[in-house]
Amino acid sequence: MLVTMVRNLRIYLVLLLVMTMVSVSCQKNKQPTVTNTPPGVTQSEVQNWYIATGILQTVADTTDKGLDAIINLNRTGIFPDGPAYKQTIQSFKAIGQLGIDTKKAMENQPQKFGTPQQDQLRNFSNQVSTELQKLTASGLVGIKDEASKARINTFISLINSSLQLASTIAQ
Amino acid sequence: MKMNEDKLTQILNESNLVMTLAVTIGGELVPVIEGAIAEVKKLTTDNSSETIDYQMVLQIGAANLAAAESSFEDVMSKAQAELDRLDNTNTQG
Repeated sequence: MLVTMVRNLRIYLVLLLVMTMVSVSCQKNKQPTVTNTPPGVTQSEVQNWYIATGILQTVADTTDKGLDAIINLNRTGIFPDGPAYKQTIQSFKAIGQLGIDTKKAMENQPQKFGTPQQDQLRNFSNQVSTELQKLTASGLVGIKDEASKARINTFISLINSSLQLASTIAQ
Repeated sequence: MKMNEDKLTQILNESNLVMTLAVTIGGELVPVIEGAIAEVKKLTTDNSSETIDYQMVLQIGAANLAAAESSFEDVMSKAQAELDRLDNTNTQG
């Protein structure tokens, strides 16, 4: 139970970390200074890279837990096998692949958070949004229980919030 | 900022509670996050002289990426297993 608590807590911590960094960076008088940076590395490059890694981790964790919840609904008969369930699983798989591709682009150090990484993050955000729209329109309609559907929508909302943050730093 | 302001406000309002829990629970089990929380505490204080070390940024960022990769691979694996099961069910049916 403690492990579960810590895992759930981790989502909120990373999101909190990301949001705090964005929140702080939006207020000039509170902007933290990154110390001991190598020559040529700017504050914004470091911060944006840092935020991007947090966004990716939050989306990954939330997607993983969301898929677990979907499969659990299937096993308990609330979300039975069929086209809607298959579409939902396919969307989760697509998000997983997009995430792995984006993670590879983010592996570079902060001084490399340039246009290619920003483009990759923007594409990730757009494509995951598309998968979430498909999932909502064609997948979740298969969930017969409204409370269960609301629970899955909570995961989707958290992912969408993270994607919106990604859009703000990938400009 | 484009993000959901209500969600942000809600989470930030709860941040003190979350961080208190993190220090208590995460202290032994999630050392990287423990470090992150310490930095977040510094960042959230209203003091323009607060700093974060570059190496700390790299450390937390690398941990975030490693955790992200692990979770995304988990998603791929579980989703593929489920798609295989559905295909097998259709074949047998």
